Amino acid sequence: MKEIVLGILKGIKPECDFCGSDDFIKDEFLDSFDIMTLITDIETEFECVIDPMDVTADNFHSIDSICKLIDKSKQ
Amino acid sequence: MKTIFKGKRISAIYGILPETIRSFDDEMLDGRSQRNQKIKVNMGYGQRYRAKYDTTVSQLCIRGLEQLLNDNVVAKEEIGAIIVSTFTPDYFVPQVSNLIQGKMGLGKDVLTLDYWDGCSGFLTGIMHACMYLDHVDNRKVLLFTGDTMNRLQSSGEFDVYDEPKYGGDGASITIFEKTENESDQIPFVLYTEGKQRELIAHKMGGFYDIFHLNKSGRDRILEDPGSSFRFFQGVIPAVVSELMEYAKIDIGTVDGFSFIQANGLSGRKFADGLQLSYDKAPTYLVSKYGDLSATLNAFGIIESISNIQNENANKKEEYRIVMVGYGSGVKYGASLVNLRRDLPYGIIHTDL
Repeated sequence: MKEIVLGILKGIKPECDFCGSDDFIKDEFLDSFDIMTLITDIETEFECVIDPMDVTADNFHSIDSICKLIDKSKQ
Repeated sequence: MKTIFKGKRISAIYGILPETIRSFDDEMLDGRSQRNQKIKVNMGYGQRYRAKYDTTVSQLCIRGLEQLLNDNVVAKEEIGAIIVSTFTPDYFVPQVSNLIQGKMGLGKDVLTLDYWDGCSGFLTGIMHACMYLDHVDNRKVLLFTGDTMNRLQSSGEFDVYDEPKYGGDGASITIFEKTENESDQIPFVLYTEGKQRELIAHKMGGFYDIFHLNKSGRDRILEDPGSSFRFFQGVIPAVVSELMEYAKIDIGTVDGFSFIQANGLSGRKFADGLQLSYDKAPTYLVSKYGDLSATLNAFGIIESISNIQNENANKKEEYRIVMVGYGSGVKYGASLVNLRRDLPYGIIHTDL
């Protein structure tokens, strides 16, 4: 799952070093446009529906947090 | 506020658009890059209307009113009040409603009001219009919404940008009138939460910090991306349900929905949350017109009417439309109107 998420992130922002960042939001790798784009890509790729209430900086700040969100959304 | 305006109805509704259409692909510095195409598809961007640099809101409104007078949709002597919702007025003073009144030669007994509610402006306009109707000697109230927000971004209508621009320029005129029929009712729910005011902020140009104009709100967005999205998706659907319950109307009997949407994704999520079919709840408005702020509600109604009438099997005499607004304040709420099948409506295209 992590590899796929990284692939999606690189597809949105190929110039960003996501593996070298602890916080995609603080490092300004992802803005609100990118997060909205990410939501659609994640929902399509993993066939899940992300609860709008889960659209928080905490849930999108790292690959691990995104993976946790996907797991939650698939339940 | 929760109320039912009785003996009031919308008797006409028109959108007004400038001439220039800008497509997402053409406007973006690298519009056809993978990232930008993803944004375009996922966010539901497509094209937007952009007024000429020297076009103002009053010009769009006046052009629309001239057309309605010309087409006998309304007569000057029938106008009792002009209400304008805009956050891009020609000037701080005089106000747009006064510009319209003066330039159109309307009498001194015509009430005028400008107010500044952003994307909730159409919704609060319903409230203002219905209240004014009781005090204008059975004349009509004209609600104008309009913005030329692209002038905030640059001077060139054919500029190219490195980040998406989705604001659309346009205006609308909605005519309200009193009726003798008590069954002409407009149920209405409106809330304001000042504590959440920072969710929608546009502080540039205000007198608080006039010498240090902040041209971007993106620092707020970065602090908590999704905060406004969460509020819209989390709080507003319940208000729609509250309206239905208050009005004792089954949501399944509603023919169309017009809701404020920042983009297609936001619109789809909202419709999904209320389990609405996209046929009844157009989520393509921003893709087609740009984000028109308060005016988007008017265009949502126009699209809904058009969609309903395009269904050949539909022979209803009245259409039940629910409007949802969410804008600066934050103000949010919902209202329901019954529109007659022969309601004058449409879009006025200008060369502005």
